[in-house]
Amino acid sequence: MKYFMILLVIILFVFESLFYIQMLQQNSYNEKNRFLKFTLKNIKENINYFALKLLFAVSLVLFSNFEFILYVYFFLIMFILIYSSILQYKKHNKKLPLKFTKRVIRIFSLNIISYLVVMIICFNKNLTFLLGVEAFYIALLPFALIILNYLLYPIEKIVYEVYKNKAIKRLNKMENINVIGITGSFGKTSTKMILNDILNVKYKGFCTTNSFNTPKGITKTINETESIFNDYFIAEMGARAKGEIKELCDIVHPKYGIITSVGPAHIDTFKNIDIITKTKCELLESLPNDGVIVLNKDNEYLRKYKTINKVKTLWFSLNDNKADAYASDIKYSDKGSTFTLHIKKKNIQVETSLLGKENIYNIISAAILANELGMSLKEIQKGISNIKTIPHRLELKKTGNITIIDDSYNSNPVGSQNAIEVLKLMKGKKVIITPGMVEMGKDEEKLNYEFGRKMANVCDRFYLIGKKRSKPIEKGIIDKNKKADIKVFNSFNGAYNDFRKDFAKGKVTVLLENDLPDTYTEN
Amino acid sequence: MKLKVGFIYGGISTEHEISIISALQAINNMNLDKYDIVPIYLSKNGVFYTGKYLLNIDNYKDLSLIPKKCKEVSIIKKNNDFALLSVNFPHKVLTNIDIFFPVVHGYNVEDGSIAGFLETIGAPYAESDLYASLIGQDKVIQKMVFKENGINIVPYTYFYENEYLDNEEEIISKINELSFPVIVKPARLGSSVGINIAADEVSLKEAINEALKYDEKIIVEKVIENLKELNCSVLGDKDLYKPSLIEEVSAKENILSYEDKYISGGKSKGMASASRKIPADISKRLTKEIENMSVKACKALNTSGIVRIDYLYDTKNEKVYLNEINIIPGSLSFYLWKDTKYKDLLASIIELGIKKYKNKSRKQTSFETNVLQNFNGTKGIKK
Repeated sequence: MKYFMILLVIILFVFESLFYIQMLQQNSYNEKNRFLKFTLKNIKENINYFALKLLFAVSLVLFSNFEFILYVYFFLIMFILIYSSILQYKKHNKKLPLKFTKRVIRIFSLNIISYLVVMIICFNKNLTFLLGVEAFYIALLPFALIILNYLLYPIEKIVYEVYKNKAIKRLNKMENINVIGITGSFGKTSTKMILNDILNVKYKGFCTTNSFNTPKGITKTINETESIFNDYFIAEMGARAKGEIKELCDIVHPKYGIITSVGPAHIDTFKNIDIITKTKCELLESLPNDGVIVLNKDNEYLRKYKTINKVKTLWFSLNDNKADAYASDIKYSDKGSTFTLHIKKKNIQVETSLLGKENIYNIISAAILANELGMSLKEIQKGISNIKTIPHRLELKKTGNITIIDDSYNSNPVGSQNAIEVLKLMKGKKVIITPGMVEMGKDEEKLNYEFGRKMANVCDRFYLIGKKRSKPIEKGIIDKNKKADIKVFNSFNGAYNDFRKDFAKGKVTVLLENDLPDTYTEN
Repeated sequence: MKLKVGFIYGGISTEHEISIISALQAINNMNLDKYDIVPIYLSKNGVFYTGKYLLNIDNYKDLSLIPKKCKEVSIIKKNNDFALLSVNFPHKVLTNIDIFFPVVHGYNVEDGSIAGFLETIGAPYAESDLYASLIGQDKVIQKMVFKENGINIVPYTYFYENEYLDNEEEIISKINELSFPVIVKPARLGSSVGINIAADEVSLKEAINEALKYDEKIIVEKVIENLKELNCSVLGDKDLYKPSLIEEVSAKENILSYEDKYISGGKSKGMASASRKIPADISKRLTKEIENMSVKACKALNTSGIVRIDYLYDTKNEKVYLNEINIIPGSLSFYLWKDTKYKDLLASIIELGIKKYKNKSRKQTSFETNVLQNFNGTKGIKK
C-alpha cells in the first residue's frame, strides 16, 4: 500500500513536470522572467487547483498516521489531481508539443534528481509526512523549476558557446557567401521567405527556419544546414531589447541588410520607439563599408534616423516615386495580387499569390536586394511568381465553400488593419475569429478598441476569444455597429467549430486573426 | 578555409590500375593552398580504404598490403556533413569530406555507379552526374543520343549474348549488311579490352566470342579506312563548354590496344604517354568542325567537368565521325590543355562540381508534409 501511494504521487509528479517544463520551454526558459510571469498568471487563473494541491500537502504533513477515512481522502484527492494534471498536459501538448531537446532532458533529469533527494531525506519519516513533503514539492514545482533552471544556466551557457563557435567555423567555410540580415518590427519572417524564393531562381542558399531569429536559432540553422556550398544566407534577426541585433551581427557578419519597418511591436519590453529604432538600426551600423542596406522610405522612424555608417542605402516605398524601388497599379483578388514593380527607373509587371499591402512592401524590399545581388528584372519577376504563400500570414486556403485567410501568427496594429482591408475585398459573407492583439504594453486596450471599430462594418459575424481580454474589441465593434452579431468563446477551437456548424453555408470568407499560442487562451 | 576533397578511385573495373594512375596524377597536381586531399581507394572487391599510405604510387605494387596499412571506411552522412566512418571498432569518423572527386574508369564505376552512389546520400561531387555517365558508358545508347542530335556516327549494329546464342545466323547477316571489315566491341566496358577487327565471318565469330567474355551487350561498327584518330577534350557545363586542343593518336596497330593506351611509353604513366601529336596536323576547318561537334555532344549528354571525345577521321572522304565519349577520361586529359596548368584545370572541375550541386539543390526534391502521415495502408499507391 505504501509503495502504491508513493507511485501515485510520482505519476502526479511526472505529469506536472511535463506540463511545467513544456511551459518553461515555450517561455524562453524564463528569460526576462517570462516563465515566472506565466506561472503567477496561471496560479491566479487556476487558484482553486493550486490551493487544493497546497492544502493537500499541508494536511498530509499535519496528519500523523493513516486511518481508513484518511485513505479515502488521499485516494480521492489524488484521483482528482492526477486526472486534472493529465488533462492539462494533454490539452497544451496538442497545440504546441513539448520538444525533447537536450536542454529539456537536462532540466528534467535534474528535476527528478532533486525530487528523489527530497524523497530519500524523508524516507524514514512518517508515511504521511513523506507524501506531504512530496506533494509540497509538486505544488511548488514551477518555482523549483525556476531555481533548477537558474542552477543549470552556466552549463547552458557553455553548451551554447560550443555550438556558436561551431556555427561560426561552418559559416567561415562557406566561401563567397553573401550574408543578408533582415530585421524590423513586422514583416521579417515574410520578407525572409519571399527573398529566399526570389533568390532561388538564380542562386542557392539557405535561411533561418520558422521564426528562429535569436542567436540560438541562427546558430542552429547554420549548424543544421544541408551543405557548405551556398551563395547566400538570410538571417532573420529579432530583438526584444537593445544590443540584441548587434549581438546577432557579431555572429554572422552580414554584408547586406533589410529593415522592413519600425513600429510598436514588443513595446512593453522596449519602453519607447526611439530605442526600437536604434535597436533595429544596429543592423545598418554593423554592415561593412561595401555593404548595402535596404530601408523602408514610408516609415517615418527610418527616414528620420541619422546613420553613422556610410553604407550604400536603397529605399523602397509604396508612395514615393523617387524611391529606388516602388510599386504601382496594385490590384488584389481572391487569387492574389498583381502590380508594376519599379526598380531604378526600370519596371516590370509582376503577380503573386500573396495578399495585402504589407506583403507588397515585403516583395519590393526583397526585389531590390535581389537586383543588387545581380538578378535581372526578368529573373525577379519569375521569382515573385514563385513565392509560396506563407503559413499563417494572410495565407489563402480553401475548403469547399469556405475561403480561409489565415493570419493567425503574431500580430500588430498595422498587420491587423491590413488583414481587415484584405477581408473587405472578398466576395460573399465575412467572418472574423480573433482574440485581439497582445503584448502591446499600456496601449493594448486602446489599440484593441480601435481594432474593434475597424472591423465593425466589415464582418457579418464576429467570434471573439477570451471573455475578459476581448472586452475592448467588443466595445469597439458595438460603438460602431450596434446590431453586430458577436459570439464570445474561450478557445479558438470552440469558436471555429461553432462557425463550421452555424455559419459556414454558402460562399463565406473567414479571417483568422491572432490565434496565439497557449499562453493566451483563457480557461 | 580549405576545401576537403575526397578522391575516389579504383573499383571493380578492368581499368582499376589506370584509375589509380589517373587519380594519383591528379592528387599530386592539386593546389594544396586551396584544398586538403583525402584518398578514398575502392579495392577490386568493393571495399573503401583511406590513409596516407595510398598517396604513394609504389605502394600499389602489392595490393594485398593495402588492407593492412589502410583504414577500411564507409562513406556516410552525419550531422549534415559527409564523412568517412571507420568500419572497424570504435567506428570513429576519420574525416569529413566537403566534395568528392571520382577519378574512376570503366564499367561498374565510371558508368554512373559512383555518381549514383554519391547522389543517393546527397553528396556533392565533381565531374558528370549519373545520367551523363550512364549514357557515356554505353557505346550503343550514346550513339542513339548522338544520332538524334545530328552528330555524325559510323554505321553500327548491336545485340545481346542470348540473342546471339539463339539466333546467330540472323545477327551475322545483320552485321554483313555493314560490310567487312567491322570492329567488334563489348558495348559497356570502357577500355580497349576485348575489341577486335574482323575481316570476314570466321574472324567475326572469334571477335564476338572474345568480346562476350567481357560484356553481354556487343556493338559491331563498320571500320573506317584511311583512318586518322583524333581526340578532343571538353571542359565546362551546359552554360559554357570549352573544347581543348585536338590530338592525333598514332596507333601501332589498327586500333589503340590496352597496351598502347596505358602501358607502353615507359616511365611516364597514364594516358599522357600514348604516342600522340598535339595539336593534330589537321586543317582549321576540320579543327572547327570537331570543336563544334564536341560541344554539341556534351550538350546532348549534359556533361559536367572534363570529358574526352574520340573521333574517327576518314582522310580519303574527308569525313569525321564521333567514335565515343569518355566521361572521366584517362589522366583527366590534362595533356590536351597546354595553355592551362593542371592544378587550375582541377580547380575548375571542382568549381563546376560545386555549381552542379548548387543547381541541383535549388530544385525541390521533397515535400514538407509526410505523405505517410495520412496513409492508412489499405489503398494502393498511385505514384
